[in-house]
Amino acid sequence: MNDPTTVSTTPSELPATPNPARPGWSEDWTAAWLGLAILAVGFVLSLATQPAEISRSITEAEVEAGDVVWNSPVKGWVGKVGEWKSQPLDAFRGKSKGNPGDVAPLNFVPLLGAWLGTIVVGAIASLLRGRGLSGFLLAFPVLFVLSVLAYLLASQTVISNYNLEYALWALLVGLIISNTIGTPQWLRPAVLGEMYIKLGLVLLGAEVLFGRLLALGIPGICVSWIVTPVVLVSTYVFGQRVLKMDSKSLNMVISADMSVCGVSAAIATSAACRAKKEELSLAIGLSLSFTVVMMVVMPIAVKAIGLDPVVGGAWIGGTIDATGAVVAAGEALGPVGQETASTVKMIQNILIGVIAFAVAVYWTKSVESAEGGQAKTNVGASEIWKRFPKFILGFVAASLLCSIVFAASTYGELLVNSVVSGVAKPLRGWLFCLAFVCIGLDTNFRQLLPYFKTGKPVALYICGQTLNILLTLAMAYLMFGVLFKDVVK
Amino acid sequence: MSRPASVRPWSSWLQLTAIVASLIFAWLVVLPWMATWPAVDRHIKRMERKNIAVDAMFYTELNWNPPDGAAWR
Repeated sequence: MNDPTTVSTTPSELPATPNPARPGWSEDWTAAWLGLAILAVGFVLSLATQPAEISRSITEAEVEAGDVVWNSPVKGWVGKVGEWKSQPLDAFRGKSKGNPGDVAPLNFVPLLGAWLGTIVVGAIASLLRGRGLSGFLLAFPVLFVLSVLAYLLASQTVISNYNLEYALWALLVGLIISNTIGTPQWLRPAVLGEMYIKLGLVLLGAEVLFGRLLALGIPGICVSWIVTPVVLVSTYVFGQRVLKMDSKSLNMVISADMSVCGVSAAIATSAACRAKKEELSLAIGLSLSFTVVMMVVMPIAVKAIGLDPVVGGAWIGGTIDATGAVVAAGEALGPVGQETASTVKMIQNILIGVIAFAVAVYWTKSVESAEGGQAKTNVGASEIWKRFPKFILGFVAASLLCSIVFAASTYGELLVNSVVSGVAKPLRGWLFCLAFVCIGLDTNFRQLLPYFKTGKPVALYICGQTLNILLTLAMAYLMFGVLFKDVVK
Repeated sequence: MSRPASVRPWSSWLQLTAIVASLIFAWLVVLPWMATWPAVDRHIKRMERKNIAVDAMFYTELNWNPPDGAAWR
């Protein structure tokens, strides 16, 4: 069977760079430094507006006892659209503070803040890369409107409560335009999908806090950090040796999103292994489709088998791809089951930092060398450094920096939380949404169809997920049902 | 993505209009109707009552306080 990826006649790394290289910083370094600069600004803003009741010696007990809140001064100024049922305008209303029946007034401030934040970041990135600003400024508002549309589609109550995340709808919005009227040339200066993804990933690094690893002690680490890499590597090897998938990057992205944490893992690994944009689209589509089914079926399976809620929660947390879907499924097991499921998933979320770094190293050292016809042993340190995706360093630096500050004291924990919730998280969401619209705008349906004809991606996902379900069940039972039975209680 | 040369402009705009109309119908008519189905309605209300962000991509998007950070400090 032919490799579906060979159908594409143009190089389509994630997503295609619209313009030829010009003098300026490389995309990777721009993303790394700009992302870290955004976080630095976030820290400065939070420190400059530190509430009087918070001191460096504040303790966890004081935080729990009083209403100590440390919000970033820009918190609430950048936000997503809200949930709506039948009236899309409801998505732009805040929460009513009056009686339950009261309708809150329309509030476009978070949307304007998001537009301002992303256009400034995008403009700086364009300048650093030596590109013109006028084309970008003209095109970006239209791209942003398309992202708002994607968020609107995703926030309809049925869609959002069944975990059909915005990435899917952002892709759809872009695909509809590119496959009907075509992506207009004047929009191209703002179609910087790869830049948005890399910037978003560096900001995501601030949310990858290694201190959270120990939230469930040894059993949590065993379920999340032993089973997950074993499943990832096994699925990848299975895809190469048994299914003989020709695209190693597609194999890796599907293996990662299925074994780690869905869309966010797919984004991180696809950037680390320079997957094609249609491969990322396919992996996300697969993951979200199976997540909806598993979100409904897994709690039923836990109850049918008669598992303890803690074991069942750990099983759900370790197997369902998407984080929100894990909590929704865990809810059916009661508060303890839900808490266990959420915590196991959180620990797995942290794993994407290590996975992205490991995949980047492996790809640089082994896969790209082999594809370039070089023996593995011939690859020197300078060549590895040249090929290494440098934005991963920004991602790792953000993660380590925030993890160290977070772990140092309660003061550090509050500070990192204020930066993450006020700056990193909202901006990262918009950057990913913009990126997926761009990927859609750069993708032709005909590039996607051959993947479905072979059936190998679906087979890989099903086989990998089956292994994941079995191994996670065994480890969850061993850890939470036998060896550390009372760890959660 | 440039438009295939064989596709005439008016037909591509027609395609776009048809798809957008279908989306509007799906999101403003079909999905609100599905939201009234008893099982779907129960699920949505339970998620709202428990303040669960089902569409969360990462744990920081959950309306949830992770276990006490002081435990490992």
